[in-house]
Amino acid sequence: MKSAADPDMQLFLDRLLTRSVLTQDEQQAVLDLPGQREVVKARSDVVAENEKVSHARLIVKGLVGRVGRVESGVRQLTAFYIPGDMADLHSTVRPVEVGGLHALTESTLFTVPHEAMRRLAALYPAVAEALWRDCMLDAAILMQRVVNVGTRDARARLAHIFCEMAVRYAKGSQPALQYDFPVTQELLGEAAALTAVHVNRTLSALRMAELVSLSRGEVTITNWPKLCAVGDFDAVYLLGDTGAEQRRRLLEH
Amino acid sequence: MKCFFNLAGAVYDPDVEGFEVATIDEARSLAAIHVAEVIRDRPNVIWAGEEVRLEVTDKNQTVLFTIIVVGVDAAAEDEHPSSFRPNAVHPSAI
Repeated sequence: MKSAADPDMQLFLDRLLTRSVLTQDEQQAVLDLPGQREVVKARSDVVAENEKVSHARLIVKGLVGRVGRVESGVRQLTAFYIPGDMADLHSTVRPVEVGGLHALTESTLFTVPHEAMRRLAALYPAVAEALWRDCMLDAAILMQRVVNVGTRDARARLAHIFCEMAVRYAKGSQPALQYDFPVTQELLGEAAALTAVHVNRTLSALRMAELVSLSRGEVTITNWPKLCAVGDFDAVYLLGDTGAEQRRRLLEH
Repeated sequence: MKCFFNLAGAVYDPDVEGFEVATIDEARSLAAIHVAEVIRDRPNVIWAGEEVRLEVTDKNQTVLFTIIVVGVDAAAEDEHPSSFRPNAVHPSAI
């Protein structure tokens, strides 16, 4: 098992620091979390639904989805996880997988023992608060996903997903107007609760309207404001807790 | 088998790419759900004066089946509608 400032943990620390202020000691404690690298093949299950787990999984490379399956075999993708996301952070305190994790592309994960995560949280309450905030971001994304598939039309659903990922893939404060998003039309359909036929038609419509295109796993956004309008997208649910006032500590110790 | 899901009538949108399906039954299910998606997104199309047609063809453009959805305004007839059956059993009782 690797330990002592593994570079993979820097990805997660960077993510935590967008929403929380941590001291040098606290940052070092996050970087020192032990874990193991694991490479998973594309289109393979990482963790099954309801599986008992003892580790949380940080995405280092690739694209992982959270999936729910119904008896008929139909699958719903409820979340995309990209590098820097601790896909099942919540399992640290509730060690049963909510839905399953499925590698959509070949992916590299860094698995961190729950025990180490809990020890870290107990020793550093500000880190615990940062982890809690991170879980709430997941909840906010899920809430928007539910609204997306429950109320929006196909154009808005796909536009909203492209907007969400543009903000999440962004390196700075501006959305990424071009990013790798290696999803098939079938996978987009599973995320947006649409048939692949409808995804295909809707992607064509979005491309013809010169809003966004998806080609060979790369998204290119040509008109960000209009895409946001079509997708009924407001980035507050993703960025509303990144301002200086929101990042301040709530827990005193 | 590759099937093409062509929209015609109130919505004209030929399918130039097509989709692989394992069986004709899968194509039928997919087509039915897709028509529902089109109407859910734009419910007004069935009142646009034309039917919504989904013609599913094979790679030779042979029509395999067609789904037609049409909105019909109330007929000016002094009769019970066909959905009115005084002795019908409610589906929940079956």
